[in-house]
Amino acid sequence: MNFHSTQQLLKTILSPFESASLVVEDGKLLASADKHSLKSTTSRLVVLQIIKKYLNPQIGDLFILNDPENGGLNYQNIFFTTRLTDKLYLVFVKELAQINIKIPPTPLYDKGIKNKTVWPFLVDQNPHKIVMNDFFENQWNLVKEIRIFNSYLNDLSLPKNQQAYFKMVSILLERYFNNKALGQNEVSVKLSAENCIKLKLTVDEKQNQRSIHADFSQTSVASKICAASHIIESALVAAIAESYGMSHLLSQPVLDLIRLSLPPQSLVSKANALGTYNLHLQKTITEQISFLLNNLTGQTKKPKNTAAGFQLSPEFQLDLNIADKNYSIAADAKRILFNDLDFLLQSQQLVPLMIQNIDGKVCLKLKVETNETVSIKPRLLLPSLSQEFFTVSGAPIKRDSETIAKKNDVLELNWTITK
Amino acid sequence: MTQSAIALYLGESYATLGVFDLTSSEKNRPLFEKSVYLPQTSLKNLLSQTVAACPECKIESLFIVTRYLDRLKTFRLGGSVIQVVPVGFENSYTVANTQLQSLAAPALILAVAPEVTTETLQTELARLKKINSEINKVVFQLPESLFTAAQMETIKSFFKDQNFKLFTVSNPFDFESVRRTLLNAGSEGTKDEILADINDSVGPDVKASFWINDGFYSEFENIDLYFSSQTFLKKYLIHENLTQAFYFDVENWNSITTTELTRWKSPWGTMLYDHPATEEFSVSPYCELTTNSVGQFVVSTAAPQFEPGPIVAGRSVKTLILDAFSEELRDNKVISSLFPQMNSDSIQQKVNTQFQILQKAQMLDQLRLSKQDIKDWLRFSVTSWILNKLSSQPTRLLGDFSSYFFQDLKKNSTVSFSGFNWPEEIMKQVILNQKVPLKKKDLTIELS
Repeated sequence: MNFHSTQQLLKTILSPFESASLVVEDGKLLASADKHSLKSTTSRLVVLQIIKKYLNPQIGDLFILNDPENGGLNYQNIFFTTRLTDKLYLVFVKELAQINIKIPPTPLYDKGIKNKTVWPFLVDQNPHKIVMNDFFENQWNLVKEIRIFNSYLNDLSLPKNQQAYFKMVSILLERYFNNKALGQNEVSVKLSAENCIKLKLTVDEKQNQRSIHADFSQTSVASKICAASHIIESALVAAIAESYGMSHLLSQPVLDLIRLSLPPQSLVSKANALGTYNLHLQKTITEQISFLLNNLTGQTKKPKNTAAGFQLSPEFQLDLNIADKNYSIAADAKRILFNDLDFLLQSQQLVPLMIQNIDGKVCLKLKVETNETVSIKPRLLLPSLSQEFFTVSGAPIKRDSETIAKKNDVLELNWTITK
Repeated sequence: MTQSAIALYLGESYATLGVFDLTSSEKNRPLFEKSVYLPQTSLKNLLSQTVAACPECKIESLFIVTRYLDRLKTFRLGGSVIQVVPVGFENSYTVANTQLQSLAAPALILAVAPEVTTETLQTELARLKKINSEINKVVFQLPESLFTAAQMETIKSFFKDQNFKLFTVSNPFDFESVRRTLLNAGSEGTKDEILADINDSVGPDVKASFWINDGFYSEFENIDLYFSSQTFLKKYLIHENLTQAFYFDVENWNSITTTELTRWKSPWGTMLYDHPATEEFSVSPYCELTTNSVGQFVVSTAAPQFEPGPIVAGRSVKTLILDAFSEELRDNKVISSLFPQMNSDSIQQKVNTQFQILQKAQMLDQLRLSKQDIKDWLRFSVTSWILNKLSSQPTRLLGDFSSYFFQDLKKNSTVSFSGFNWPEEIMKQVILNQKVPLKKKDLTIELS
């Protein structure tokens, strides 16, 4: 297989997954897909090391984990780890809104058989057992389907093929790297009165060795807002790869380019037990990286008559829950995405009083018609957002916990799309 | 004069037809066949040339399978459609995902209060006609909970009197229904163009019917046309006792199964519509082969380049995937007919020169691909995609490229391949439908 075919094969194998990595025996990243809003390339590597250390995975096994203090993102995002060949592992992440318990490293399938100890406890006794059962079985089926590539996977497992692939990626990275400016730049962002992230980015080349150094040295000590270092690194890696146009090459040579300085016990290196601020901090890091790299290469288009200061772009993500079914609502400067709004209106659980999109100004007023409890829980809610952007019968939703709406309440969203 | 029918496959970029003698005992043997590349020869010209080439034939019917409307999938629709909505519901169908393509021009939205008068409508119509003087269709999204029957009648009558074509959303607060009606309105012009070409070339008396779901019909919703070729292929699969196939013609590579999906995730948003599950391969034969910013060979992510088309069509200087297979496709009857210059030495020379330029444009010696390397890579990519989708049931590769892509799948006993002659397959279904009369909608023809 030549480089192009290898690249195509890796893409095909990872195509059924939103977030997944192929990792070789010595822990090097062979390929990564990171399409979820929560980035997890580095987290997947951490999870694999934990699973390898404690559970010794064999071919046909499948392990799960979701603990945000042990490589995970939050309870809803489950990490699945399996061994494809003697020298190749697959780690992928899949979200299920109904999971709200901490799952430590756990064997789900042993040599292709459901684990008889875990399955009854985890699935059969769960109030959402049908959903859970389908969810876990579907993930196992995805793993089984990869077996059709066994002969190719064996090729990919050969160290000489891996080295050849990494070598070609390194050559390409050199070219991508040379297309961008070298230099140093820094930016600070205040998340609250006592929480500040300071990032100094240095893009350098010394004795033909290229590196991108992200230094968070002056960042505040962790308080309420914090995230584990792998969360920060995952966002950083994805943002750098995106800015350099090399997301399709995301593998060990890209990780080797990046150096990180994270002060211990700072808000960028201490895990939050529930992963509550992971999305917020990843968004912040992503936008900081994009800002710094754009400034370095002079690509920033400064708006007329305004200072080119760093500002987080407006964004929110909410979970609307009705009768145990989750409907996500997300918006940023470019778009609004209301998952299954069509279904909610068809089922008349919510009745439209106003739904309007005029020149990017969106107003949504929906009356609750169902007798079921409607809960609205923020995933990402920037402090800078106006209190009134989402209200329930005129009252702003709570920022740190769920807001409950009942029959005849009116949900109102006001948002402006600017790009 | 022999009673005859035309079986026409109208793709996005090409059309292929056969003329069949309806009185013959061998009805599925064409009297005449022709294929054209639509950017170079219009449908109207194709049909006119066909009529001229068969002076002894009395064309009574035209049976059409199409994916022509797929070309609309990259466009915003509704340029000549007024959307009448209640105040407060402007562009409401877009809010579920504001990044999708629009089905109605925002400038042509007419937000009305229940008590709107004919005079106000007159003023508003004058204003909208200044924006687009050719508006001729109107979609009503007026809920019964907000408008009385009399109020709705006032509004509809006004537009009817103005000679507008009317489209009414059955459930105005169901945005899937709104999108479907807007799509029907936005696609009307394209359907009318096809029918006008047929009338102008074959004559107004010929009965044209399209493959819709399970048979040929002359009355249907325009949304049905988006699934004409898919549902035809599904019918083929059922007839051949297959549940899955991979289809590779000159413009489209996709997988199709007999599994039905109830929601169509269209480029304009979801719509409730039963259709077979299909998946397109990541690139189209009309995608450009080029190099990226670091001089690595890539397939362009831009939309397929039907205009000016591949080098083998004679006009282009852009190298498309199709050009890579110029040698393999030389003996293909349909493709030779689409691109008559393809086999000339000058075109073959031009293709080879373009691939040499592409090879030199790749900056990294270690990654440089020749024309043959590119073909091998494409075959590998398609094969791995097929393997990823393959079910345990018998599967067939269909179409012009099927034998080429079958080469690496020979070891798999459940996979076979076959060419796919559209006019002959269409005629087979016409004959089958004659034997099993259709119950729904409108059976279009009874063969003598």
